[in-house]
Amino acid sequence: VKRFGPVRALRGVVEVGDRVQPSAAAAFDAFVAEDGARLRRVLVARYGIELGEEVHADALGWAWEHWDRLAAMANPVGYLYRVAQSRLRRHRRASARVVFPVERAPDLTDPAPELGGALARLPESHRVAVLLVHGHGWTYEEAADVLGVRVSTIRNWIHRGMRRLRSELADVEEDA
Amino acid sequence: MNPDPDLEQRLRAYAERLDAGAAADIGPVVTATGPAAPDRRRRTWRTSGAVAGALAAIAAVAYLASAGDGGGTSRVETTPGTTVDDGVLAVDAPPAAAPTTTTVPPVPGLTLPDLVGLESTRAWVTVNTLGLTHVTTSPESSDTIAAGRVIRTDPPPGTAVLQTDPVTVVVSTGPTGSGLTLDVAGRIVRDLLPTEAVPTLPPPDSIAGGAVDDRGYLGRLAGTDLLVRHFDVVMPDGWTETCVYLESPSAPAWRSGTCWWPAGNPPRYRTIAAPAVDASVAIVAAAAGDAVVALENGVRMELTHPVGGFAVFLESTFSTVDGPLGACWFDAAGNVNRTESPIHG
Repeated sequence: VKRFGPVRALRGVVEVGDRVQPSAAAAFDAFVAEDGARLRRVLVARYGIELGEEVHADALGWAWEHWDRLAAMANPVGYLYRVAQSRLRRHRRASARVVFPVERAPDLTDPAPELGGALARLPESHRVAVLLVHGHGWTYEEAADVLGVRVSTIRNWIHRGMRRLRSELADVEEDA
Repeated sequence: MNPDPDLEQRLRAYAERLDAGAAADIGPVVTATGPAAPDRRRRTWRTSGAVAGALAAIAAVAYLASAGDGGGTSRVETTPGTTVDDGVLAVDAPPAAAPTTTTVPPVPGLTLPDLVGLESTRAWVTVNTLGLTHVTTSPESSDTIAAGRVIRTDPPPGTAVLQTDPVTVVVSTGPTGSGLTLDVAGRIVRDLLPTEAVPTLPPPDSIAGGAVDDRGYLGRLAGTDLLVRHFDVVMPDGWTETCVYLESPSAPAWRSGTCWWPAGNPPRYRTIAAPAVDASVAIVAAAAGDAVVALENGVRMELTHPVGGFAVFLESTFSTVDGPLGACWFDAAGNVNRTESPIHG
């Protein structure tokens, strides 16, 4: 029985909190402001709006705790993307549902579920590539860098993903 | 393959929606096939409003940067797709040169309610419920508005705002010279440190089917005995979760909300100090003087002293609900005058 675990933790945090390095905190805040949004886009594209948010928060928590290491990296977003995946697997949440909001029609009053549903049904890699490049305007190179794959792989994923999206959306329109 | 500018435009608009719709109104959702992960006592595994709001705020900054002044409609640059033949695949090219302009509706807004005169906690609940992500508080002395109540807001009530717009809530600290000082608050935090180990604790509530590794300690907070319950539960299949809650032997009827989280997750106390946090934490942090103590693994215990009294919250990034899991409010003399929560647990 670890009776004093929380005691040490409590004291430790108080003491650490008193000597937080302002420069590190500022650098981390800047990282969150600039690269945190990019990381969020990747994770939401992969895991959906709910789980993606949670995984993002988890990854940022990890980033702060390992900031010394992360700050020296050339591609911290790509590294955190892989950290997020491994932590998700470890915590057995990988099978949690993937949720995407419905697409809003231009008048914002008539939600059309087709695109969100079609995206949610895409293979993860295809969905991420399509959303990053066609949704968020990333270049192939940027997407390949963060996802840790070749540019040609990104092209392939986008090609397949867009083809399937068109097919599904066409089917929906025909059914309608 | 034919380029499909219509689909690409829809994808861009949809991506903006993903950016902007984090913690706020995402509306109806669609769910991919596949079973949800089994959950022991949480029905879902979610971040608290703190983190989700932080993400919303980050996304919103990017959104607002592109959306202009948020008038009737906003304008964004879009580009029709092109077909690229690189000898391997015909693909839909990413956005590139020669953009064309189209109009995309802005994120739906809301009307800022009248918070003036409300107790700060009630104001906090209100803005949190609305999904406002950039709310800060500003303490200000007042001879006419009671300590702890809202003096005014900026922008004023009735203003149309987006959920990502900055909103400042000015909270009265009472007449000049009243209220707790940070020094006093700091001493109270130190008082919270345990004074006595608890060798044998009564069994915690409602642990069905799991072996309990129980630990805890007694502390005193502003003259009130406080028992910090802290234990692990190992379920028969090996799944381990940790629980923390507070209870007071001096006030047996009171117990804080219970906070559970999967074992092995790291502390989240850093998020309290981030500038882009959600309404609940922003209010606490801005008004508090930042006396923050953290327990283990995502549970924060916060001491605030803004408004002629102070409060202790428990929060967790793994909460299924937004906002504190439990709160105990004290008056300026350190007497318990109100407790909130059992939101769950």
